[in-house]
Amino acid sequence: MAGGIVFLSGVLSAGLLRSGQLRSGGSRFWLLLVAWSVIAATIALSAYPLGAVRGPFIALTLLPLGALVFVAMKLQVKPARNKSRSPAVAPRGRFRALKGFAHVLGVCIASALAALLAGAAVAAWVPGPPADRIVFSGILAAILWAAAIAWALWMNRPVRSLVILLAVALTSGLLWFAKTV
Amino acid sequence: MTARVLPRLKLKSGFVRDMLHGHAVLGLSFAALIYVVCLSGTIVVFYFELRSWETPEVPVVQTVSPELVSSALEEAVTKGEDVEGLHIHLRFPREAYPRLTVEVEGGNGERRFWVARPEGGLVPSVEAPFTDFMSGLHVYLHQPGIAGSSIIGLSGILTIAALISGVLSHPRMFKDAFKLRWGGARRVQEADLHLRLGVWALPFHFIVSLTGALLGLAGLFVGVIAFAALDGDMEKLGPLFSPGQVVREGTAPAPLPDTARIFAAAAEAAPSSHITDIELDRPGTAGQTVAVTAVDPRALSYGDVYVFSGDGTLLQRSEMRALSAGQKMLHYISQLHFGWFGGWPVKLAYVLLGLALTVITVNGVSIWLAKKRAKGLPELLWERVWPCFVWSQPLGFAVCASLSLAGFGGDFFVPLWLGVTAAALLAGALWQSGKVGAWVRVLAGLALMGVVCFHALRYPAWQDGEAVLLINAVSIITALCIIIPPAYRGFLLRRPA
Repeated sequence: MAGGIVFLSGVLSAGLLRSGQLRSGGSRFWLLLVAWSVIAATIALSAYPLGAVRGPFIALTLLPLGALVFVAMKLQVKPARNKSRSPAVAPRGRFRALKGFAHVLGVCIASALAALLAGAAVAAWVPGPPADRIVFSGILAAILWAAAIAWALWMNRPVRSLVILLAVALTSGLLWFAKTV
Repeated sequence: MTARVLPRLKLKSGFVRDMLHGHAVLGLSFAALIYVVCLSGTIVVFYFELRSWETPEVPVVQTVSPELVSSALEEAVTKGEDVEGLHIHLRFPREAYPRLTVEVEGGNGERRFWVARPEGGLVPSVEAPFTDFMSGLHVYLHQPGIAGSSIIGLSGILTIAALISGVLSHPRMFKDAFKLRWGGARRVQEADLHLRLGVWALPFHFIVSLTGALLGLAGLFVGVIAFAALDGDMEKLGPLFSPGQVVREGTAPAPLPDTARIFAAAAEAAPSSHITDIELDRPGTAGQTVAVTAVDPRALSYGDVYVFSGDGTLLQRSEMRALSAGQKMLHYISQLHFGWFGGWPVKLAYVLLGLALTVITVNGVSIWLAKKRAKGLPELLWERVWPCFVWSQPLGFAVCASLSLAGFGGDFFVPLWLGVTAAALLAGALWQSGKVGAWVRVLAGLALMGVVCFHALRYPAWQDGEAVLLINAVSIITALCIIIPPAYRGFLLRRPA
């Protein structure tokens, strides 16, 4: 029952957001405000029937599903267009692809080193109960690792990004070492 | 004037171009791994339903009385008489798997399994090789040691990285959040689907990827971060995250615990919770202990643990409310990853949104292939091989499920699944036809239909069970969704001019 209401709230808020997007002037502001208020209220109020932590997470799962159903309802169907150019037969890129993969692998390893050592440095230095430091530093390390991969691949300069990541790893390692001695 | 509904990312075109390049490189490098992890994870959301479907003949127990527990414990103790350091674990029925299972474990690690009958008495447990194969694939890729789970965890990290680069490389994704065009140019259709599923399911995809990464890489994180937090004293780690075993002196013979009293004491200690597990350590001795796990249905937790002595005296309690934020977070992480915390609506949402992540992974590669073709530089080999790989996975899973229903053990499922994958890849590489992927796809759909028919023939008396109905219905719908589109597009039968 409560899950159904959360789902319908997702459909409703997506509809309100869409209506707001299509309008201009004062009504747009109010529609967007109502839409975001519905989303916020659903997340907050779901705690009451569904549990203090469990409820908001159920809302975070069912709200997007409702929104996706709304988007699917607005599907624009067009006749298929299968215009494809005749294929060229130029030999390309296998070696480049292999090189690209090696770069990504290198980035993953360097990012792991940087993120894990940064997490370890945080775990060693921040105050608080050890269990909290371990878990939250672990979460931080996971997010840092992913962000470092995204950043290093954006850099598109393999050597420079690897050097920076290794420098971060070294600095974090030194910070951790400084705490232990 | 176009209104701004969601935050508009003001990013420079050079930044967006480089980020898109990074997003593509990352996606293309690991699409196959992420796809296998996402698809198997989506299926494993139905872990308990699959187990019920695969072994419908196992006795069903809807409600557990103290008498039933008592008789199960007595019989388990008798059956485990020859086992040294006996430890008995009773898992109570749950909505998706209404069975009372009994595990007997010896001090040497030897384990035996039984299932209780509703009228009392134990029968040997039945293996579910296909369910175990699917969960093993998702949890540790069937690799030994921590290698497999670490690769799975890495796929979670890579997915988060792809989510970050995806958001930053598509500044219009929030602006176009409602635009979904189907038909027309193939590339536009695929890009719309990729971005719409990506933007709306973003919170879910982030949560599931992060929790998956933490669960998979737990060994690595513990090794480095816990080492740093505890100044190298790793012996402190265990007590931080588990209540610790209550060890009582006494090896003299004693009667088995009074389960009615234990039930009453557990109900008094946790009135709003229901019991999910009972563990009996060193049964039949003066030092025996009973650990009762009780779950509050409104909490995001895998349960509070109450340890009693044989006479029902409460010795230790480990409750969620008494835990620190980090310890609570551990409960949340596993619950949020599995999606079993909110009944069938949440489970269904996890399946659909997990499928969305699977689709995003697959069509990310399709978008790249379509872009190359639009430039007049098609990747002919990859255009054939990628769909073959994608559809070989459900085909391999369906073949394994059929063999499990035929009574084969799961020992050769991994080589079989790898063999099906390799055969499909080889067909894609060698068969110079654009239809090869569609053929593998239709084969996968037919194999899935075959599994349902096979199940109906193998277990005709159990077709009205809830789990059987659910899994069969999902399989039929999936099979139709797999078969109909290529047949409709005329891939298989040449339409008359």
